[in-house]
Amino acid sequence: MKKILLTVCTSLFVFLFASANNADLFTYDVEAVDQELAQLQSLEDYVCVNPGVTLTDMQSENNGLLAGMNLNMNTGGFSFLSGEPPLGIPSFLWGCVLSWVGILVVYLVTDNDREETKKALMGCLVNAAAIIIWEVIWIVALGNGLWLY
Amino acid sequence: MKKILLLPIFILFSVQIGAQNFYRISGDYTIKGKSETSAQLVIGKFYYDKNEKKIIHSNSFPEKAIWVTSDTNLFKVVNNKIEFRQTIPNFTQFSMYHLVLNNQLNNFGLDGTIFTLDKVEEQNGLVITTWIPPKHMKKIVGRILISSKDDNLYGVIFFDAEDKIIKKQFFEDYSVTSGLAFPGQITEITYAPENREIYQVTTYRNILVNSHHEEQLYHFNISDFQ
Repeated sequence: MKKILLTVCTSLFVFLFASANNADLFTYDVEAVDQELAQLQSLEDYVCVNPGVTLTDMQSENNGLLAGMNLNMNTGGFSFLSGEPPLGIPSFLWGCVLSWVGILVVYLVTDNDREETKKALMGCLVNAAAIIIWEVIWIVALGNGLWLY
Repeated sequence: MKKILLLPIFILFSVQIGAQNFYRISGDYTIKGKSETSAQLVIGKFYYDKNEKKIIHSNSFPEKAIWVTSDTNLFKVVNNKIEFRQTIPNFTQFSMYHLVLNNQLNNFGLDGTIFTLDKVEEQNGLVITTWIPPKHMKKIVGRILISSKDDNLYGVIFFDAEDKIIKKQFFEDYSVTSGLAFPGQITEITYAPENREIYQVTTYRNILVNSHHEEQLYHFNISDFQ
């Protein structure tokens, strides 16, 4: 009887603990993010009050706001994760613009074993999302994208 | 008698609101991103019409360029010339803009995909849903947690196959334009190898819904450019 009670209590505790964890995961350090992006915020403010200014303009006038920032000039050829943009798609389109498919594709392309990925995805060509992921893996496997230009 | 007359008007009005067709969205956006080694600031406007199925990003910073995602093509137009063209998978229907217009942002477009809904729970004012990949993909990708607050998408957490968090996204500061809710800020935290954290914040302003202002940008006929 004691054992049953102990098992039930333990299970309940584990269930409650696991459940509580999920809500706790939906937090982030707002101050850390703000602090990390403070210099970019100053730059954004400058661009907003000087509409039409480009990075080239600012570089040519040695604008102090760019000091020590290593700001990327080329929107299309840049990725924080891999150095090169996955499939040649600019980094600003991944993530929130391309929703979960974009995030998954970046993860699969940059972090996973492509052969294993390819095999596992063979059986999931059942809907558009899977087809997209499959297309991506296929393109990557064929050789880092189909560059037309 | 007045009440009887008002009733059909009220019903018609309610039906009209319920059946409101959101087909087009545009706005200003800014992306700020930073890792240990580099930074990025992108400022521009976006345009999307779900009937056209083209996503247009007209950037003014760091360079003046228009990026057009159309079907399986990605174009970059600079000074009225196509500078770059790339074949890509057709992502348009999974774009955030498409999900918002189709009222599918709450589940981040996961409904009806390879992921299945495993669990729904309510904690600390959040409705949290757990989505799991099919069995044969569990070695590659992990679960996805989605939370909503006040009927709006709040957070998305992506896990790898070992149940480690690879990315968090937070959708905040919603504004309602013509009855359509759109997040004003999206914060992304990517957990890269070697315990690196990469931050990216996208802010949206001046959202327009079903607008006919700058009509040509929603259609953006790429054949007009060489």
